[in-house]
Amino acid sequence: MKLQIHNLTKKYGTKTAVDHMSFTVENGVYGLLGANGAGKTTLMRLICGIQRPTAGKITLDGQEVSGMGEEYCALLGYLPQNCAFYPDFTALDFLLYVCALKGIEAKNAGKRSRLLLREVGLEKEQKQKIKTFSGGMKQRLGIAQAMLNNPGILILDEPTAGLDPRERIRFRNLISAFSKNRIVILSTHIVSDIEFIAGEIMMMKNGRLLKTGCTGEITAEMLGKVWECTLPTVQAEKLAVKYPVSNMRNTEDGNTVLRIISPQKPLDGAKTVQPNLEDLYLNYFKEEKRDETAFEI
Amino acid sequence: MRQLLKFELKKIFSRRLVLVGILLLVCVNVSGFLSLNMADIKYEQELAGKYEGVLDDAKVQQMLIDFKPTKEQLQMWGGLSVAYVGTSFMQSAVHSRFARDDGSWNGKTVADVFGDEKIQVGYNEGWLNLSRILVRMALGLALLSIVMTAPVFAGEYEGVDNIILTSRFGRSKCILAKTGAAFAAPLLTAAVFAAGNLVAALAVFGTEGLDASVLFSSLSYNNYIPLNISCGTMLLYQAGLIFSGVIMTVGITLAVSAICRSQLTALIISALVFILPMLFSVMEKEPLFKLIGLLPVYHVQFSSLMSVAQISGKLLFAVWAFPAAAAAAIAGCLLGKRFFASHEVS
Repeated sequence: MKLQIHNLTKKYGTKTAVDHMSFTVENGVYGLLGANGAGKTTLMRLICGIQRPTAGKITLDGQEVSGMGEEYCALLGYLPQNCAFYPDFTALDFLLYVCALKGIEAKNAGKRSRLLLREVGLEKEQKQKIKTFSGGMKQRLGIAQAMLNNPGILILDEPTAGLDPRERIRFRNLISAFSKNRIVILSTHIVSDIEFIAGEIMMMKNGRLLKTGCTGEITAEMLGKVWECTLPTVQAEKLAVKYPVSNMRNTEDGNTVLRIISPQKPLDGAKTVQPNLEDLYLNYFKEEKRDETAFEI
Repeated sequence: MRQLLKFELKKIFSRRLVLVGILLLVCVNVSGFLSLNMADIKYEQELAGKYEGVLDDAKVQQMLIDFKPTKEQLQMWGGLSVAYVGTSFMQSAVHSRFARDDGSWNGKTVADVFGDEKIQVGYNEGWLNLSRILVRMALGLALLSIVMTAPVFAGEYEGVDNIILTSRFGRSKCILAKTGAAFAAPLLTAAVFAAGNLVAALAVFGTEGLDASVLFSSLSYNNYIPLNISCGTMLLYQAGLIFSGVIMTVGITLAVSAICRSQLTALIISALVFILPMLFSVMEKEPLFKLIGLLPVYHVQFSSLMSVAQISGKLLFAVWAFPAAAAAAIAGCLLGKRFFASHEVS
């Protein structure tokens, strides 16, 4: 499958959320990375056909998706940001309802729903009403519903939001196993999740695609620009004001280990280290208003 | 499709507000029947049996003799018309049209009062009473229909529309199931209540008086429906108008639900659209009422729409309520589909 985005634009009044974006995705896991307001959610909604582009088009194997109707929807699995549910439904009922929406035959619906509930760790809670669920449980249920129809194109908007570390690992494994011969596009603020799951990373800013490639490729430009040094805490705090710092860790001897982004050596004794995705993210979004969740790991 | 319909019905009937509404409706209905006195009903039916048939001047004179108040009664009532304080519906009926306050004949003949109409005398009091109980029930049913229908589309805008519209049947079968359930749930409820009332009424009144004219009734039902139709015809219309009122209400509410982005807004707007026409001061005789009267609140309020005109025999102007309801239902379905299927999620 080849999903192509051609010069896609979406405007809300005078604000441009997606700005003449073009790219092609084929089977594999793609991670959308960008600060709040970068246009990730809008791009995903456009791909899912629940928002109409102001200009441009999306094609699947050369066919425009807006004209494919049910045929395209049958290939889709979508987890929206802040996924909503019917609070009085049980988890199993909700999945059976989504099965009916997706045209999964009743005889297979129960089996498929129970399997996915087991996969996301909600097997024991399948008969509980959704209103009793925690945020993480709802998120897992959202992931399960997106995968019910074995979608060829799986779009996950912030799938790991609200998941605890154990659940995030379970999710990563689930997606890795699921992603063969499919297109999976996911967005998250949690940079480490993207690093682990995505084969290709797409970095977005102001509705445009800044960079695409695997972690190694897109972080290559940061080689020699990421430094680590150990300083007394007072000095470290002063340095942190001067340079973008991607990590700051206090040691037991009263010193602080700083990870600094800088094209030049920030001070004597600083050593270059292998750059990671967070360093790249910080480098591109240092001008943006700092969003706490962007650095969650 | 069947699965989707089942789930849509489940969504409707699992709402607490809907369950409370049904419970209230049961209470209103039961209280209406509990207020009836079986001994009184039996007495009134026996009286009516004596004068069965077409009303003529001889029957009127006989009634005036049979129901003549005693001097003691007149003294006790202190000058109040017998029609008001009559001891039976027949006494009230004959005195309200053919007697002075003191109970003496007012000189009018049947032709003077009813023209050429053939007035069938019989026990109509119970059926007219039932009709009023049904008006209260129908009003409650219409409001319950709004509560049931308002969230059908508007509720989905609160987030689940993302999932629905990206699913294979989200824009087709799902909308069909939603509209199907939106009509089925209130109509099913209306059918259960109507059947319950019919069974209860037949148990209490039997079939006696169903052929009696609604016109020769006690003072409290004078001009309730000022047209010469039988109680049976009246109840047939009322049953029809309850369903047409519910259908039209659902049609309008569906359209509102698809347009509004929150269920509370949809609920309030739909309730206002339903209730506001009652505040228009347009009389039944004014030509404009022929349009306003076709709005659902007048279907369930019943007597105003039934009073507009008698086209011929059993055919009343109120029959227009049925095509009006069908038109509103079709429009509601089409608008609902159009707005919901093509909306952009936010």
